[in-house]
Amino acid sequence: MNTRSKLEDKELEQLERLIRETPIEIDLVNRTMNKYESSRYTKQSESSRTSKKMRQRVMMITASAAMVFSFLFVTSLISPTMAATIKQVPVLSSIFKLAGDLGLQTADEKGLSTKLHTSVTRDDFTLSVSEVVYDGTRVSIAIERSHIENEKETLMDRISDIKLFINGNPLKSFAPDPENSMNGIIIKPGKDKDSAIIEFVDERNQGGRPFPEQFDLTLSTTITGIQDPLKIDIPVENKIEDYVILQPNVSRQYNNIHFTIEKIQFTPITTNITTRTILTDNSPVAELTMGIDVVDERGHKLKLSGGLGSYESNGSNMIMDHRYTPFESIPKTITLKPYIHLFKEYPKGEFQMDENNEPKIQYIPELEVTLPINSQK
Amino acid sequence: MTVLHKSKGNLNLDIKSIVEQVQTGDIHAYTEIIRCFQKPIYIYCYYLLGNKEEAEDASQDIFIKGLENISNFSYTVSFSAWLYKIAHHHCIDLIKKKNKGFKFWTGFKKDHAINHTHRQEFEYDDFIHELLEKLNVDERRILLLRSIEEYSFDEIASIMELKPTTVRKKYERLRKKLMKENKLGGDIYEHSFKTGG
Repeated sequence: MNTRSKLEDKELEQLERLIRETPIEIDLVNRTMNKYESSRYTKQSESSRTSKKMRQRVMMITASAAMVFSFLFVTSLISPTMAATIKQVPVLSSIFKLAGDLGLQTADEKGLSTKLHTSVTRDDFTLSVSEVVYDGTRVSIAIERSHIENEKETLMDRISDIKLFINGNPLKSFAPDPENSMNGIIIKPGKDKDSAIIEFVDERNQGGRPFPEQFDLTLSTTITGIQDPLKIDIPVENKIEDYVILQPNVSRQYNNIHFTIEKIQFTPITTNITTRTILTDNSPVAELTMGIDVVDERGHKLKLSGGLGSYESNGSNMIMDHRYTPFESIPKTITLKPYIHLFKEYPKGEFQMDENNEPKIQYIPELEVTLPINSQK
Repeated sequence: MTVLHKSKGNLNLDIKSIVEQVQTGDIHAYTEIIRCFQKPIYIYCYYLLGNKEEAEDASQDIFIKGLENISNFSYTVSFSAWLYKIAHHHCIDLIKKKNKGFKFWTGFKKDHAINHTHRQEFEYDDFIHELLEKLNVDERRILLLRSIEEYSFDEIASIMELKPTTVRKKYERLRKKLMKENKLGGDIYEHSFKTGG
């Protein structure tokens, strides 16, 4: 018996040592101090404001390694020393075409995006922007760095922070509640290790300020190992002329779920559905995690590309924008099929997965809505 | 980096003087603190939260909270114990939010993506994660504090705001949980022990 507990001691010691010696290289110093500096600005401006009700955000990010960056409101911009060189960077193949969602590929093919050759260099690192598109729902930017042989880290790995300014104003100022704005920036992998796509959304459907149809976007990217952020000015223009906006305001009810389709927007590169979900028994809406499948009259299903919702803390009322790939042509009817995700008992909060390693869902047929679409054409 | 190689006694002295420097207003000196504690705090968060990105975010936020509240710190406890207390509260809040569904969309999909691209890095700690999953939150914290910092039960009790006897009991229980199914090398050890090998 004595022997047994001595062995156990030894094994436990082994485990403790393994934990203590977990091999990890990490350098949080710069990021932490930067975050601290930024938050000090926010706190100073907050003290003079009246308190508002906390607005929580929920974001939908689809599978292919999209990451979210947080940025904080900075009242005084550090005056930038713009990078040394602006030079021409040849673009061999469009990042949107090879890596973007179907909408971005379409944008590239149909000439709805703006092609650019702008770049900035600092400390031998050259970042360039090759393409940008805005269709009233989201802005997508294709970025690249000059190729380095044997570089193990992807461009995404090297980006530690992103700040965006529209006509000089921080992106946050367009959010419905700038003081409590969640980051709204997504970065997705590009066609290779040296490219990526940055995306952020217009929050007009949730009480935010719409972006201007045309504006100057300043992209400020912090690269690991480089002290000052790299800044690039990008001219953004909504070149879309053919789009359809519907405001059906159709509702369905099932148990405690009151579900309304407030707005549907078809652009050639995005389908955006704005919904409002109210839980009539005042239970917290954030726990519902409802999604919607979108299908046309032929059963063709759109692919989800992202989403953003907002609700009040512990509230039971959520407004959400769901974004999908575009339809090739405006369909005769569309059917919206709400579903909930199925969760495991343990570990709590994890999705149950099906045999294709996709999250398991359950449709709620009572909430389904089919709408005839009257095309403008 | 230089601080890490000194003996524990000297280390404590250095930290003390750095903390005092920061408390007098030298914010930049705090970077030394981060350098010194970032690895253990990160490991603690990583094994508690189960996710590298969350652990990175949490670690940054913990250091920031430490800096913001540094004027409230006095040497009734060691600075690292104080930092672990902050880490504890921060991680518990995150875990609670996670269970409420707040981070479903962001947290899950990121994990999913990361698992696919960083398969090799995970092999080292897959085994540790499996074992940790058998434990409840308190047991995990005790094991982590003991593993990472080799704290005594008294020190752990002070960080977790529990009685030392409670901590000992939980430690015994967690040990039993871990050993129950872990037959790894049990027979071999026994044999060599008996024959004096």
